[in-house]
Amino acid sequence: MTDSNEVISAFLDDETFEPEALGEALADPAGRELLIDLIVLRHVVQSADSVPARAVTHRKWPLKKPLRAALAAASLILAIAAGYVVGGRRTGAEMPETPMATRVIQPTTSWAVKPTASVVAP
Amino acid sequence: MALNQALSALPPLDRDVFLMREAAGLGYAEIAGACDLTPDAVRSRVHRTRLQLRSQLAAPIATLRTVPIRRSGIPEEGSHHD
Repeated sequence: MTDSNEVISAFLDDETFEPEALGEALADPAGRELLIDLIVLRHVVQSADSVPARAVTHRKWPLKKPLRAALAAASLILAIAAGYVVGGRRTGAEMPETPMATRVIQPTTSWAVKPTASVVAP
Repeated sequence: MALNQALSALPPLDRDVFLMREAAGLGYAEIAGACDLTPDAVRSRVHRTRLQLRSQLAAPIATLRTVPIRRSGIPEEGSHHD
């Protein structure tokens, strides 16, 4: 048999409820007391340090993994694009000039073009 | 400590359903999928467990009725009760 005050729990949990049923439940002083007590009970649970609440929160992660992967991929693409932009701006006039030569080497051999060997017809 | 004792006295499924709802913030449909129950069954179990804990924790609940709290039950920073 369904408890007529179940609608108060559903209202507290932001679940679907029948407004008329909630009105009837809250019209009873016991129903109003129950609403307050259930809010306080929730506060007790969420304030307790030893309640292993976060042990079940991992069930939410499968819903967030695609979003995290998408954000990671977008960040990587943005970083690569930023690298191209910054690298392109560094070419051209901003490149340092070739430094002046500090040592000149004079060749000791006089290079000359030697005639190539050829076969002379008798 | 009173809360832990009260939670320990609950049937395992009722305790899991209650904590999924109150501590983890899951909806009835999510809990139903996780525990192989219907949403209506989750609703009944959550409500029944709340009534049981309400009777077992009557003293701390009566004490906290005089303290400002949020409807969500999320405590203010720095306030912890055990």
